[in-house]
Amino acid sequence: MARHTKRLRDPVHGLIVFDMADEVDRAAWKLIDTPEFQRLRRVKQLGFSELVFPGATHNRFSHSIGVFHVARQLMDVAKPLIAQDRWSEQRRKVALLSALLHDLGHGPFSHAFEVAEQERLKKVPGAYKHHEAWTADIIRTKDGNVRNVLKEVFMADGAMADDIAALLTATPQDIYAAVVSSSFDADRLDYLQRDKLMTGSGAGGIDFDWLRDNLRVVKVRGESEGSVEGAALEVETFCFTEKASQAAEAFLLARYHLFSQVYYHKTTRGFERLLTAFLQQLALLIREKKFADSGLPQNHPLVDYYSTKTPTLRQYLELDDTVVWGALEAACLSNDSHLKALAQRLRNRKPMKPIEINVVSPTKLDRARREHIDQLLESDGGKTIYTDRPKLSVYADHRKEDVPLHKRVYIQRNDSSVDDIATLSGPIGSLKEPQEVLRYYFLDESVRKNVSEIGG
Amino acid sequence: MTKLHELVADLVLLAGGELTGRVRLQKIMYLLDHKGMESGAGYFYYHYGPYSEDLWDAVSDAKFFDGLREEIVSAGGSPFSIFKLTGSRARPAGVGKLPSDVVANHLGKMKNVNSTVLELASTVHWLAFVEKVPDWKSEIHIRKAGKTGQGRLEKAIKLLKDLEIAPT
Repeated sequence: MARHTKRLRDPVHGLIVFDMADEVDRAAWKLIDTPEFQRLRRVKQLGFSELVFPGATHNRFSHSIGVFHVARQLMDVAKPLIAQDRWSEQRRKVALLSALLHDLGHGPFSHAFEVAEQERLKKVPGAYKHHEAWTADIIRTKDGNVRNVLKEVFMADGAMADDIAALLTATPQDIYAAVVSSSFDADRLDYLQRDKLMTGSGAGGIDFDWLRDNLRVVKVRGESEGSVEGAALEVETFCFTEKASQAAEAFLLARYHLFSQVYYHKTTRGFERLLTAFLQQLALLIREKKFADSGLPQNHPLVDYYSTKTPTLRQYLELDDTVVWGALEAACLSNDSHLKALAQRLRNRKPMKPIEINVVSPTKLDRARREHIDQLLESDGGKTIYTDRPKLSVYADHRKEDVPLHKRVYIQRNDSSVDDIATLSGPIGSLKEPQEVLRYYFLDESVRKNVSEIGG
Repeated sequence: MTKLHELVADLVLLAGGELTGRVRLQKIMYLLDHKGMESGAGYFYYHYGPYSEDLWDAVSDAKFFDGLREEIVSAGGSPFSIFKLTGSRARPAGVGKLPSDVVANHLGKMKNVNSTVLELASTVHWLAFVEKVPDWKSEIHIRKAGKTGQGRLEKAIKLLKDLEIAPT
């Protein structure tokens, strides 16, 4: 009897097939059709990177489907490595659908929007929500389309939704969660390939086939931050055999180079800072009820969002990249000169040139410039001078306090012991300390020029 | 008003010139802020509980301006940070809005506490008082699955009681 399948073509993975006789695939296909998931077509994976890498137009929609596809492959790798009596079909299903839905809560232009929100809500503790929290809310919400699909396929009043949200918000403990979040998870395996392809970046190659072939499942124990008291934490996660050490090293270095060359590209970050400034100014005008000055209609989704003290899920889901681009277009005719200047700069792609300060080994010139800029910032208040401080690390995810146990890369030695790659690899060990970058951007080029002419 | 990076350097000074762990530093700051330090740092919930991006920038600034050094060491294969002050630094009269001897006293209670216990303590506090989750006792087990066992949660609650900021 012929299989009833649905298929998608993907530039990274080729043909992605959904078997309608399989519960998970059937649920995935229906979830893709929900408005919440379709919204991801309107959220670019790399935000403003397309203004630097013109090919980087891919969206979170294709990325999320790619992550689901890779997650299925990782599960096929993991299953033979787990004793049959310990294998959980239920956890497998939860993890696969978590992989599909993991990015649902991303806001428009992700990073730039989140920075603006953190500033806007700084004085209201608990008000700011990271995109992961929004994702959990979208999945869990009782009257949401996601929950309704899961209820339809898995019954039990949509309890699957709660299981997925729990997996996405808790610290991964088992191998199913490791497929979604670990050093070699489905998310990284998709975005590293997709972003490299679509940007055309020359960042190092990754031997995925060799790495996949040398994956093993281990339990690792680690004490937090060298603490001497208490029992160790333990998680089940992936590791590589010693044969794949160099490939694992190359994998981490390739990721590092993608961060330094693509995600943290100085021109891209400059545009993100412009958007953050635009959103902050817009939010201020709305707060002061200067709707007419904004150039946007009062029923515009951004106006609606910023008019509410605690935006609802519905208001959040109205926001995507196209809404922001529309707002920028309208704001080009704004009565507020600052908002107008920011909007025009973004719409017409007029980048800001940064001044970089070496914070690791600062020279006298670095110190003199920084002192001068910090004085300027005191009166400017971040209105026309912007700071960017990406923290680049070969190992840690940026912004994270520490490298959690499940995110470390482990190598299983020939004697079956397991070591952190940072202790085995010279290049990884030497780069494990975060490389700090400090950039200042100036809306007024003459101010930047004056600073650049400061002697040491 | 003391800048956040100066406050970070002062904390390390009052901790005896050395403080271990990024997570530990974040959570100590959070708990001290809820004892009235008022550093001005903004927090939101993230992987290890309440987290401040401002604080990471301040650590970077403290390295630039105040002689703070961060060493990455590996013990048992897992790298972690040790923050140390180089050069001399005068003991401040206060840290934020708290007198230095009060801060030193609180630091004494937290400095050598297991980072996971600090993480649990600050998360319990966040859930109960910031997110105002009615059933924080259940929620902590969901958000910190795998970390609450082996007496760690009990130690976290005790720490909050010692600091007089425990939920009921």
